[in-house]
Order: sequence, then structure tokens, then C-alpha cells
Amino acid sequence: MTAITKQHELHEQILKSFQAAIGDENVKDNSATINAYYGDWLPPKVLGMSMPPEFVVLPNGTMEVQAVIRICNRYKIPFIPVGSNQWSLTGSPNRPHTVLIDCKRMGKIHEIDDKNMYAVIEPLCTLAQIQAEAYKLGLYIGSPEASATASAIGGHVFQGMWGVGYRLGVAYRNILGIEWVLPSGEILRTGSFSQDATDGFWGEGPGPDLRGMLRGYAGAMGGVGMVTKMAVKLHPYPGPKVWPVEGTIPNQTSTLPEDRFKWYMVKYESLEDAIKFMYEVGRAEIAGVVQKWPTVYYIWWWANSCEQYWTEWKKRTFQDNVKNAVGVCLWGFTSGKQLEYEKRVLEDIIEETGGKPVKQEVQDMWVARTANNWIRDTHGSRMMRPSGTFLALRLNTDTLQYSIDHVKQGYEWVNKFSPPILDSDGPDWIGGYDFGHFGFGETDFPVEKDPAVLGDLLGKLLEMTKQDVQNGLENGVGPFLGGVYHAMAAPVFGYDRLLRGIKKAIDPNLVSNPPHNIPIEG
Amino acid sequence: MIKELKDIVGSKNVLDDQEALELYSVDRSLASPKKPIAVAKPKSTAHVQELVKFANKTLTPLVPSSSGIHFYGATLPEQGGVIVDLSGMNKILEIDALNRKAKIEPGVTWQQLNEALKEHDQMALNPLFPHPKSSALTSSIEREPMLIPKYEYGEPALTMEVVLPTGDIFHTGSAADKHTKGAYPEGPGIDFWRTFLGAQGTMGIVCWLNVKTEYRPKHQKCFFIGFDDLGDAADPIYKLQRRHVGNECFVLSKFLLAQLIAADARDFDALMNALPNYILVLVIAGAPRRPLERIAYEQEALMEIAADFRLQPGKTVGGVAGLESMIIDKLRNLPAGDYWKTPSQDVFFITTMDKAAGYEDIAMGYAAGYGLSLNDVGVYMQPLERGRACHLQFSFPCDPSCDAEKENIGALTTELAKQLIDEGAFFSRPYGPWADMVYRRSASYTAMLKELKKIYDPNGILNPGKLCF
Repeated sequence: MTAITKQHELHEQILKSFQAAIGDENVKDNSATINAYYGDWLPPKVLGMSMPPEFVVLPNGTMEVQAVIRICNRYKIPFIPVGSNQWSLTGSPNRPHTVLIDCKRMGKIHEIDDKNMYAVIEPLCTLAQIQAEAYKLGLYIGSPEASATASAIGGHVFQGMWGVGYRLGVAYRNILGIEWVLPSGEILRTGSFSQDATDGFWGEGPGPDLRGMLRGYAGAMGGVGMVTKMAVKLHPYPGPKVWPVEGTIPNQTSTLPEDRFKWYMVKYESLEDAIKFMYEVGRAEIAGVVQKWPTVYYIWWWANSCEQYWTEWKKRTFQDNVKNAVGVCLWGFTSGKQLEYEKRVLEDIIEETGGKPVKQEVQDMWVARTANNWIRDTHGSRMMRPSGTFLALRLNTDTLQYSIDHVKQGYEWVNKFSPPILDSDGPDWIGGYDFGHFGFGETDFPVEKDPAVLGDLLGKLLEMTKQDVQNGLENGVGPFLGGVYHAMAAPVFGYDRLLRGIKKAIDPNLVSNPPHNIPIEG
Repeated sequence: MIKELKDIVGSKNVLDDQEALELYSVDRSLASPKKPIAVAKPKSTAHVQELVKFANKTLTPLVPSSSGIHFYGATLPEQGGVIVDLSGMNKILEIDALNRKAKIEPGVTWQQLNEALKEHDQMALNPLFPHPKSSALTSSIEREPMLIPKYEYGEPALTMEVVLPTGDIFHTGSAADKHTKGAYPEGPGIDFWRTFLGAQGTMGIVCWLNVKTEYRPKHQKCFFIGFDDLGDAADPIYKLQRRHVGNECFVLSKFLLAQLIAADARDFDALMNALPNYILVLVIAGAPRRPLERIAYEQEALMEIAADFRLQPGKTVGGVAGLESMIIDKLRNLPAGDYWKTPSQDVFFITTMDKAAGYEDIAMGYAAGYGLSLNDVGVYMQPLERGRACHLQFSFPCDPSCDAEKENIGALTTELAKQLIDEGAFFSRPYGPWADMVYRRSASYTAMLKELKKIYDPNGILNPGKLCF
């Protein structure tokens, strides 16, 4: 029997196993489907770093996911769980015989407990879906800049730096009970799910908390199995029961009720002054969103097309008006009087810190079109408009003060690598979180979606990351590379033995998206 | 062994006389005494590291203890060994008022931290009137509930330095990167930091912790609402929390409030006659800017919500003179003595407020079987995360010098815990006998914890016999 024949027979055997487990119609291996599953906006496909999967399987429910993962273990073939498939730098198949576990049949909201403010959701439940139901009950959930169609569970196990994180913290604090199929096929239930699989209202324990195995700065990249059900916190929301929209995409606008929401756009002479302002707002315990967006963000979110982006960029509408500006959205949670109180406090702070209002016509361009999306969703895909993709270097979460240093280091690298990095005006995104207890800084920029350019740039970024790790510096980009990064960083930051030990224990056959979250082969 | 311990931490810092060992063999719980071989008092992370290396070499159990005040048996050496008494590591390493955090060693007490923070207009996020000499660090990493449910982000623990059970030093969160201020908990790698929380010292010895602090209000008002039944308090609190009203917010049974404020036994009796069964305590506090204006709009919302429920919030309850100032003083200034005049045994767990009355019925049913009523039992309900859940606690007075009473209360609390767990109460911090009851119900979680323990602590030297280890 030739190797090809053997391979074919094995393929058929695995196919039949999957079909028996989850039904013929839920297992795909035809080339049209397979090819549709591995293209996206991130570099792997552009650079030829990814390959088509061998199977796409669509289980429904925890038991079917468990069956699929057990089959993967039997045949020692890798699997990758995908949610809404918006992040594939580490989610594209990178080795032969990969099985993509698509959760398209798992999009239910199992429960919303209005009184106790949590929802139990499945992996494909999108942010838009849960938000729409939550708003009806006077509740809301945060959304990262990944668009409303992103998986809410994906957002929780990945990074989850929400626009509303200023008030709610980062998504890792929002995770309650989890039902999760480990790479070995065992089902792990955490928090209160561990005692009662129907009641996920509490996330911690019992005893040491295992939720963290899923997270980290940028998640486990599918390296620790697949979450099949998660309870997530919802939060009090003083807005309307239906998200207000006018017009149609791409010209859609959203205006929240004036008696409960008020946006301010405040401009400063320097980044340092802008951050001082952010500290004061946090110390005053006011506002629901506090963000210092880079100029590229304004235009990314505002422009309807690549042409419009670059036309407006050349006019410098945003560069000349919002450099070092901070966007603050006040929320009247308690009543309209809270909003009035917060306006007075904010205006005091603006006056004391020398802030100036951004020109009204520029505010008008931004607020109704885009800024409200930092509460509902953020149309992350608009970041692709100027060039087809974007990259980031130097992102970090520590104090707001530290974010300044970090993004300024980012400028240096951006300058060093421009071109091929496109014009980006010192792209410094700094968000305040937990009422300013910490800050997040990120340097994002557009770059041509060209294999040669991207390959060259990624090589440089990897080299920068290696240098940073050697200097004991967490540059924040690294964790998004998953196993590649952890292999170099774990020994330096002291978690090599622990992470490898955990990966070996839960993934004895190395099937859960290797080499993530850390390579242990060989 | 004693010589080696002395070589590590110095002669003065090792105790092996019987009197000292007896002292360390008990705490305020009903756990039976467990005598250590010795007590070592490290003064630095390097000392802790050397102790751990010594323990691995000799397979000696190490039991971390941060202060002399322990309530749940977590610091008693189940399998003998050496108690690592961290009370001498008691420095506040930094107060970072700009970023609202403090870096503390395990021996830093609540009183010490509170006093130090006052100078910076800051306060710690403490649990319900903690013993002033108890460890602030342990309280945070053991996830004791905060009094203020308004901080949706919860979780005061930020980053930490841990000596792992192998002797390696590990820094969690952004503290892994020496360039930072250690303000962000996540990473490096996965969120290992969470595995050190609620771990009763079984996964590592935390040598310092960055904890969040918050603005210490200069202006505040305290309101009280009396209830006959605990269940009647739930809906008003749901409303208050949903509308972001108030800072500290909790419910005490009259037995607890009377203990807290009584000047003497006579006063206690008078208070028990005067107070309603349950009292909601709500502090409305001003922020750093325009404090009175914030108090005004929150007070107005409180009155609106109260009117909807036909309740009358007041500056006192049961006619107790000066109650508001007494409570505010106790909240803002932790005195040197013990708040709680009656030693007690607690049963506590996490649930939701709409279920609290059902659990209270169960608890009071058990209490009645032992001849106790609401006049003898403390009940404490702490709303968490804007009222999304709550910590519910029953405290049964127990004279530690009376064996019969200890036996009775021991039986009561054990039977009660079993029943509550059967009824869905979630014991997220399973101390002593609760651990077995809880872990028997969570096979997959227990199996994973045991795997983790093997990876972290291959020789099983850190506090063996606790939790499911």
C-alpha cells in the first residue's frame, strides 16, 4: 500500500469517526469549504505561513465537542477551536491534518439572569447578540475593538481591552463559571459551575482559581482546549432598550440620550498633559469611557473607504485637531443629576489642566459616527480600510504614566520602520482602566498588505521582541504571537516550568493548536 | 533541622520551645491542635526562598502564616513541619497615591495599612471590620469580601512576588517586567496569579503584594434601614446597586450590630431589645471633587428607591444615639482592639441575594435545633459587584474555653455547611471540613487542581493536607 493510499484511508477513517460523532452534515472536507476557512486579514495567509485545514467540523454542544476532541486525540491530529474567526495570527492551521472546530451551531444565549446580572452564553454568541438582549433589561456588556460580530466568549478569553473597561475593568474580570473541554477531552467546570453545571453565577474557585489558565495578556490561542459555555457578568446601563441608530452603514450614526450621556473631546498641548487629565478624571471617580485615541483611529473609524481615508489624511483634519485629545463619555447611572454633577466636575478638571475643546465640527464628525461605538462595538474591521491590514508594536498595560514611555518607544520603532509602515502621525492609543488604576498603551499603524512588506516587517518585529525579552521587557506584542513568544519569554520571566508542565498535563497528545500556548514538542 | 533553620533566618528567629509550639498549634477555629516541629520567622524573600529549598531537601512541610490572627485552621500544620511566620516581613514597601495602590509585605496589618494610607487620602478595600492585627495581604489573596460593592472591577489584588514551592521566585502580572510599576495583574504567560488566590498558602508563599487603594472620603453620610426579615432587604439593595448609589453597603443582624457598638453587657441587652432583626448600612460618600454635590444626588436616589419600597432610611435605627458617627468612625479608623466581643465560628459562602432568605431559613432552623435564635446568631450579608452576588455569613458564638460548647457548635456548623452545600450554596473558599464536602462534588475541578499542585509543588511541601491536597 502506498503512502498516499494509506493517507487516504486514514482520512476516510477519521472522516467517518467525525461523522458518527456529530452527523455527516456537520463534517466538511471538500476543497471549496476548506479553502473558505483560511483566508483573513492577518498576515499568515498573505505570507504563506498557514495552510488549509483537513477537516472543518461543526459540533453542537459540549458532548459533541468532547467527542471531536477525543477523536483528535485518538488520531493525534491537531485541532483549532474558532469563534467568529476574527483573529487568526495564531488561529490559522500551521501544520498538516488540522481540524478546525467551528462553533457555528453553538450560538445560544442559554440564560440571562436580569436580577443577578449575568448571562450564560455559547461560543458563537456575538457581542451584538448579547448586547441587544442585555440592553432590553437595562444591562450591558463591554466590547473590544473587534466589531459587533465577534464572539463574546472569544473576546473574554482573548484580550478584552474594552472601551468601557475604564469602568468595568478588562474582560478577564468578567468571566464567571466556565464549561470547557480540555485538550485531553476531559470536561472542566470552573467557579460555581464546578458544583452545579446549571449555575455559573460565580467565577472564583473553589479554592485556587483556574480561570486564569484560559487567559494571560492575550489568551491561550486555542492551546488549552475549547470553551463550550461561559457565564459572563452584565452591568447596569442607563441607556435605551434598543441601541439608537440613524442611517445605514457606512454612514450610520448613533446618538445616546442627552440626559444620561455626554461626550467631551478635550485637547492638550502634550501627551503628558493629556495623561495628567486622565489621572484626574479617574481620581474623581467620574465617567464611563476615557480614551486617548491616536489620530489614525479617528480617521480609521470615520472614513468610508480607502480613498476617503487618504484624502482626509492629506487634509490633516484630524492630525491638526485631535493630537493629544482625550475623549470622555460621562454616564448618568444614578440619574440625570449624576450626569449634571459629573459635567461640573469634568469642566473643573478641564479648566485646571488647561484643556481645550476639540473644534465642534471635528467633534461632530467623530462622536455620532464613531465614538458611541466604543460603548456598543467598535467596528474594528474599519482598521483595514487604509491598507488592507494593520499591525501594532509596543503595547503594554501598567500605569497610565508607564503608557507614555511605552508608546513613545513605539514612535521610535515606527519611525525606524517607516517605510514600509505607512504615515501614522505617532500613533499612541492610551486607555484608562479601573478608574485609572492602570492604563493601556498601544502603537497601531497601517501597513501595506503585501507579502514582501509584511514578511520584512514581521521579521523586524520579531527581532525587536527578542531584544526586548532579553532586556526583561514585556513589549506586549509578543503574547499575541502565542507559543512562539512564550518559548522565548517563559525562561526569562520565570514561568517556563509551570506553563510547559500545564500544557503537558492537559494536552498529552499535543493536539490543541500546537505550538500554543507553548511548544513542548521535542 | 533546627540548626539549619537557624542558619537560614538567624537564631533569634527560630522557635522550638514547647510553649511557642503550643501557641502555633491552635487558632480561633474549632480545628484540633496540630503542633509544628518549629517556627521560622523570615525577614526577607531570600530567607523564604532558602526555607523552601531546605524543605524540598528534607521533605519538610512548610506552613505559611502571616499574622497571629487566624480563624479557619488554614495555618495549622496538618502533617507537622515548620510554620513560616511571615509577621516580621511587615513593611509597606510603597504607597503610590497617583496610581492608587500600595505594595505590602505579608506581615502588614490592617491597622498599619489603614494608618499609613490616611496620610495619602487613601484607604484600603478591607473586609467587614477586620481584626486590626490581621494581615492585609492574606485578606486580599484569600478573597475576603470588600465592603464596597461599587467597584465593578473588584479584586484589589494586583501583582505579587511569590516564592514557588520549588524555591524559584516568580513575579506576576506586569511586575514580571522590572521597568513597570506592577499595576496590572495579567500574565506573564497565563494568569498564574489567580492560582495563588484562595490557595491557603498551598501554591506559593507571597512575599509582597500590590493592592488597589481608593480615595478616603472626607465627607459622608451613613444611612440605616431596619428589616424584620433578611429577604426584605434584597430588592431595595438590588435597586440601590443597580443605580450606583453608595459606597459601603452591607446588612448585619442585630446581634452583630449590637456587638459592634455596645459599650458593655447592659448596653448590649438594651440594643438587642431596641434594634430590628436586620439592619442595612449604606454609606453615601463624597468624591475628591464637589463631594457634597455627589452626596446630594445619591441621597436623593436613595430616598426615591426607599419610597418605592415604603422604607425610611435614617441616620440611626432603633433609636440608638450617635450611630452614624460610630459606624463611620469604625469604618475609617481601625482601632487597636478586636471589634467582635464574642468569639464565634463562622459559616460563609457565595450566593445571590434573592436566595439569601432561603439559606437564612435553613441556618436558623439548624440553630433552633441547638437552642439558638436570631438573638444569639450573627448574620452578615455583603452585596458584591453591584449586587450581582453576595457573601452570606452566619456566626455562631462559641466560648473557646468550653469543650461542650465547642463540640455543639462544631456539630452545628458542620451539619449546616453540608446542608447549605446540598442546597446550592457555593463555598468558594473551602476551609477545614468544608473542603472535603466541596471537592467531592467537583471531580473535574479537583482533578485539575491536583495536577496543578503536582506541577507547582512536586514534593508536596507547601501546607499539605489543605483543600484537596
